[in-house]
Amino acid sequence: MTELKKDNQGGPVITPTGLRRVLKFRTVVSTSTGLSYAAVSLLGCIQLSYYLKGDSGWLAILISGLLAFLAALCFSELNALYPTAAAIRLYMKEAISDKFSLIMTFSYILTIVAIIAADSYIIGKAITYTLNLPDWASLVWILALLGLAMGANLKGIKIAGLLQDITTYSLLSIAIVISLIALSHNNFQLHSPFAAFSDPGNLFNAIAVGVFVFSAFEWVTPLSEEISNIKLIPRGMFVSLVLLFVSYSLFTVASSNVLNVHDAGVTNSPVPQLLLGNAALGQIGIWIMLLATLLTAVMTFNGGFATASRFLYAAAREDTIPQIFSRISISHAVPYMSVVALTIFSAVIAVIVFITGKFQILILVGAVLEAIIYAVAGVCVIQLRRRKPAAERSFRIWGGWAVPVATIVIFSVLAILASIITGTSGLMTGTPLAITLLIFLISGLYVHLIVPRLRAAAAARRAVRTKRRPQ
Amino acid sequence: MATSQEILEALADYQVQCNENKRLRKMQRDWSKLLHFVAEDTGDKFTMNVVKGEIISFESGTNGTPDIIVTTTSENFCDMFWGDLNPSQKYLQGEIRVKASQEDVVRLDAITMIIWPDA
Repeated sequence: MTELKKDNQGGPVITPTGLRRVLKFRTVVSTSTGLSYAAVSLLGCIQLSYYLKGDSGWLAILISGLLAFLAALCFSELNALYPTAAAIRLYMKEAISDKFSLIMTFSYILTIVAIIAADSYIIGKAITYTLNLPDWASLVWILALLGLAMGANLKGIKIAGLLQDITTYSLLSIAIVISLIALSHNNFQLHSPFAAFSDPGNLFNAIAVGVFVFSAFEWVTPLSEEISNIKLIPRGMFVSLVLLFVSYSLFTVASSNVLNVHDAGVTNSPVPQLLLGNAALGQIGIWIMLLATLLTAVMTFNGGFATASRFLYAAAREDTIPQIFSRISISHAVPYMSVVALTIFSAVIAVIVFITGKFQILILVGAVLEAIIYAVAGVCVIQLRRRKPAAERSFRIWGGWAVPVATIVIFSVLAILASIITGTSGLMTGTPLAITLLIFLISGLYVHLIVPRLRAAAAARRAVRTKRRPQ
Repeated sequence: MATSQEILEALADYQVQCNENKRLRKMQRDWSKLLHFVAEDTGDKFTMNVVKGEIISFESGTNGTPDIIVTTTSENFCDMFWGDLNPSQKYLQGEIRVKASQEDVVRLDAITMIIWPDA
């Protein structure tokens, strides 16, 4: 069950390989796909099609998907070097610095919180729309959903394995089938499917938004510790991107074909997927797409809460946030303070979005943050190749520095683009940039001013502790 | 480097600390796992059997198909089992590597946190 290898210094390296239970490839794919397929991603598809004429939104999805593929290659090499759930924290620290790693990790947590908030808002709106309830009922649903998600996470209830697979593949199937049914109403006749090429400026804007649509597929890397073959992770991400492309592009094309995606009623709607369902199958279509929306909630609240709460727990254990966030529930072995904090934070953002109606800003800020993270991943690949050239990598990107350099350049440009566009939000130009800079400023100040104090206090506590190990 | 005997002594103390801690036993009441520990510097391997939160046995060598595999240096193992090490910090530094579900990784770390909260 173990194999002996030599490490870089010639010493024995034991690589254990056999776990009693390992995740299957289909679960790797469903996890990567499910984490990316948030309800807000469907709104992102509508937002990007707003920029383009005809039914050419699929081109932006295709290009965004190909760019996401570049990022997937970078994450695959990084994951091969550090096949651990702590990967993101670890390789940024090794490649750049501990402080930078902390700032990016906190930004990552914020992205997860934003997606949880956005999804709870969208689902609340979707239920209200389907049941024809007054708008204020959405707020009740939003808080109820977050409360339900918090309760499930506090109880340690987790969707895993086969149930995760069923949820994800059902969602994909529903989105694809409804989209095809909608397209069949016009006999699958597309209007100007290549029109995007005639307006490269808007195509770039659409691609910048498209980055967000694919984001979070890389959160599958923590599963490295639960699989027998590390190569399943990159393969899973690549397959996931293909599935996401098929589903998103069909949804986008169907929406532009049967709905008017340049009408404010559609682009500013928090439930365009229900509008598509209505166009496809009337009231039955609305209920079916409500089901799809609820399935996205299952995956977002299940995966997002678990990932973010463990991030917070780990951060507290390494003394970068207050110790209170490391408290574990004795009843269910869950970091309950982290879960509660996440719920409160998500609820605050969701309520702000409900009051302002500006859900688009979450998409744009999310796009900026994810583009930055992907650019940083490219930097990490290059830095770690320079610092650890001989380290074992079961996956190495071919073509030298071409892919990581391309990743850095392209996603840096997309981050800048996403930070200055405002889409249909009606917000002032540069609002996403201002919010992103504020996030990094707060995070940076926290890391520079507060983290050293927390660590010093922890070191002082440990200094007075008597070692138990006999000398 | 810690010897195999030192690690076994540390494991013996760890077993006592775990089994006598009521809070821990309550938290782990539904946790039954077979763990393998692999010292990457010496090549020593150990097996621990946990049944409903109680460490039933531990021994040298690897037996059975594990639910959890922990790999680190012999010194880290010794310090960890004596409660002189924060496993989370070593894990986040890449010095301790675990193959297990995410819940089990949290539970493993929680053991140290509950028994030795000042570690």
